[in-house]
Amino acid sequence: MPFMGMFSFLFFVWPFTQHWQNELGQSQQTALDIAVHNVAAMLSEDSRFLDFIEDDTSIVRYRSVPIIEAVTIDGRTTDWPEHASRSLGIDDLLEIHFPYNTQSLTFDLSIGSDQENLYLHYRVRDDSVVFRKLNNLSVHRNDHIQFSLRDRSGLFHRFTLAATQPGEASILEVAANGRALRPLENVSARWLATEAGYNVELQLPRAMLGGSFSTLVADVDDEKSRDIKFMMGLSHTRQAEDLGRLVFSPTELESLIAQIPYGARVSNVSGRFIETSGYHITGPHIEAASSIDAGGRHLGTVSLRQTLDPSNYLFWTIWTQLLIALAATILVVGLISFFALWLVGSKLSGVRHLLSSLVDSQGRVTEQSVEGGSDAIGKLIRELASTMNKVAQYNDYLERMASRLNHELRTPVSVVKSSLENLQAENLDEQNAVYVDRATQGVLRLTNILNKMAEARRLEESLDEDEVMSFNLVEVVSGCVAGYETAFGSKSFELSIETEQIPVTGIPELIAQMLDKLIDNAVEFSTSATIRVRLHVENEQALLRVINDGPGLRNDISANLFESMVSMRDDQTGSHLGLGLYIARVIAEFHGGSLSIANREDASGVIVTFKVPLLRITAKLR
Amino acid sequence: MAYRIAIIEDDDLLRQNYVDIFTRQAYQVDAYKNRADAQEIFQSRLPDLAIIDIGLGDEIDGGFALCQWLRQKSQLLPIIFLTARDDDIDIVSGLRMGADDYLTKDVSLPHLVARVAALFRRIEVLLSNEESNVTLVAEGNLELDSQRLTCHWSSTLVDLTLTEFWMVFALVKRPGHVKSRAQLMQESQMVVDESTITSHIKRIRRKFVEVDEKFDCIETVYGMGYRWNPGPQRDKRS
Repeated sequence: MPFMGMFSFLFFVWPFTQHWQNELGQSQQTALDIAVHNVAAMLSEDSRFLDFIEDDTSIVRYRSVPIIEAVTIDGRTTDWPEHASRSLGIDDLLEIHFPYNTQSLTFDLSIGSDQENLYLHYRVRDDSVVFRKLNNLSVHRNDHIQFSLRDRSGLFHRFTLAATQPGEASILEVAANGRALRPLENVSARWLATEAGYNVELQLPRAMLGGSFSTLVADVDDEKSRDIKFMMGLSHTRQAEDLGRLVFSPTELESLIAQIPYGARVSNVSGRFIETSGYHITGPHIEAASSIDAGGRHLGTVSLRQTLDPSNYLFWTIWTQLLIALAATILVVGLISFFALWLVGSKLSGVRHLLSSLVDSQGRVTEQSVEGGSDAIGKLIRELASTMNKVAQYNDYLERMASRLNHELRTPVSVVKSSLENLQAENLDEQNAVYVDRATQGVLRLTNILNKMAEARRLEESLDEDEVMSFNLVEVVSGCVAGYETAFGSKSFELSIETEQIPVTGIPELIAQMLDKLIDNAVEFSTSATIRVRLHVENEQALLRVINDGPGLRNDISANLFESMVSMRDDQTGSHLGLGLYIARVIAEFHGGSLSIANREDASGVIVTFKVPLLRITAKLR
Repeated sequence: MAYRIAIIEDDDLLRQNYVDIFTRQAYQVDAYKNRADAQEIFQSRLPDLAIIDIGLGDEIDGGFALCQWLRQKSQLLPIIFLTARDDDIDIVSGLRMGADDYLTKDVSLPHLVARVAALFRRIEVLLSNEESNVTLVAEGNLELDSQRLTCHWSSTLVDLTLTEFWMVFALVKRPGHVKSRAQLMQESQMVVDESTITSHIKRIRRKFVEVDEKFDCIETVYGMGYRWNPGPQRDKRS
């Protein structure tokens, strides 16, 4: 039932969810369109991406490697990744004011970055290192390092790093004309003297950096003249147009793209592209693309993809929630129903107990007072009990009436009988004697009827559990059958018994009385001279069969034959009340057994079967 | 001298028939419709024998009360209960009303007359103290006196009614021989339904067991009847 409800619910809800799904698809597409524009705009402004997107080889690139373990600003190279280093030499001379040879100046530049900082390391080989004089205003009349950059708002800044001695180095921002302006704070720089020359290491916060950058090493060798002999670097630092571009690792680009909550692909005009694994969607999906433009120039394309299929996240979220809600509802309703059913069921079982207690095993209604709740079932119970009590009273009345009728009839019958006997004591003439004789016959028959009625009643009184004993059924049956041989002279009895001991419990006299009834019945309907009696054990039950030849039973009556007052005899003259088989049945049931009657398979007669459970100690006896 | 029989029966027709039959037998018969009438007369003079119906008009147990009242008056007065229902017999037996016999109204009048004659004979024997005519049947521990109609088991009196006495007598006459119900009825001069024989036998057994717990001489032969089994007591049923 709950499943039926669930399925019909789903049936009705399905079209709506289809609609929702379409709506969701629309809004998804819109969201994706917005997202792709945002991504394109972001990329067009970010040097990290611009570098990747642009294919302009004329631009100088300063490649930064990712720094995973923090470097110490101490001038040493030991904590730098090897591949970060780039060697500069004669080809990288920007200015020559003196004949150059390879001993004059070369250096290795390393650039690295982590999330917060840009790290620079210069390993300079210089045959003569000239420090800045302590009181010298100029910062350029000594060995020094220059770097320029555009900040995030695009403003050009120029810096010079110089040292008066190894150790802490200072960085000064310098004006376009070369004059030093102010020291740069929040940066740390270190000058380390080496055998070959010197090393400089510095750290800049990335926050002060845009994407444009240049750096160079200026060499001064003469302590006296202090003129710059050479300037060596990838690009000049003097003005904004000179700047190269700071290029971060492609993995940084990839990781940034990976943060986009869609499948993404970024390609430049020449077809180079980076994409995320989520970009490859086999099923249905939506897609949005946008051109990346900077300064009116088309640089590339970004495209985003998002899954759109029945396993779509939102779709299934809705479904999952629906199903959970439904399941929870069904569970709650189920529990409530279960509890209600349990409540009703337990009350009904109370009714059942009451009903079974109202009628005893003999089918008699027992009178009793009953308590019940104030609810409908309680009322039902009380109503039922009161009805049953009325039935019981009526039953009682009927029983007493039958008994009273029996009693009341005996006296007038006795009057008739004694009158007839008085009459017979007189000397009657032959003619009158005939009538007196007939009247006597009639009274005798009436007496028999009364006795039979009394027998059924008396039997019920004699069903006394106290009289129950264990006995051998074989003895009772064989004794009875031997008696029938003499009682019914015209019939012969064929007895077959398989075992000598068939112990059962009960009242042997009653079993004999029952067998009497079965034999009476068999004899009456038998058309041959032989009645067969079989006794054997089957499935822990004793089976006693009385078999006679003769007409079969009508189907409609066989089931009722063991009821009181049911007879299949046609004659109206006899004193048959249909009580015989009823008495037999009462006895069988008293012994925990059963009686059944059936036609023989070949319809040549009738078999009455009495089944009774064996005494439990049977196994020991056999 | 004719014996005086008192009949207390509330049914007018039946009472008159009884009166007729006993009058025809040359008894002197007094008939009463209810207990009060009978007691009024009995105060001054007791009858020689009383036949009492149990239900007397409005008094369902009027017969019992009358019987007890009479028994207080005389221990020897023979009393016969005449009942309409045979389950009353059990009540009579259970209450031990002191009746000498009980018969159902089915009894045929000749049998009733025979019973009455038997009771008078017992009285006569008791009064005469004649030993010579005693018919004594002795069988093991059992002694039956067919003159006095008394039964002793191991010299202890077993208080049997007339009906019961004749049933035992019939069985003991031929020990080990099965008596069918019909035979028992015939020999004990009973006219009741066969099935009541079973309850009579039960009552007889009970009375013997009261005297001797191990009594088991009356054997049921299923389907045939009963027999007196004097041999070593063996219990097939347990």
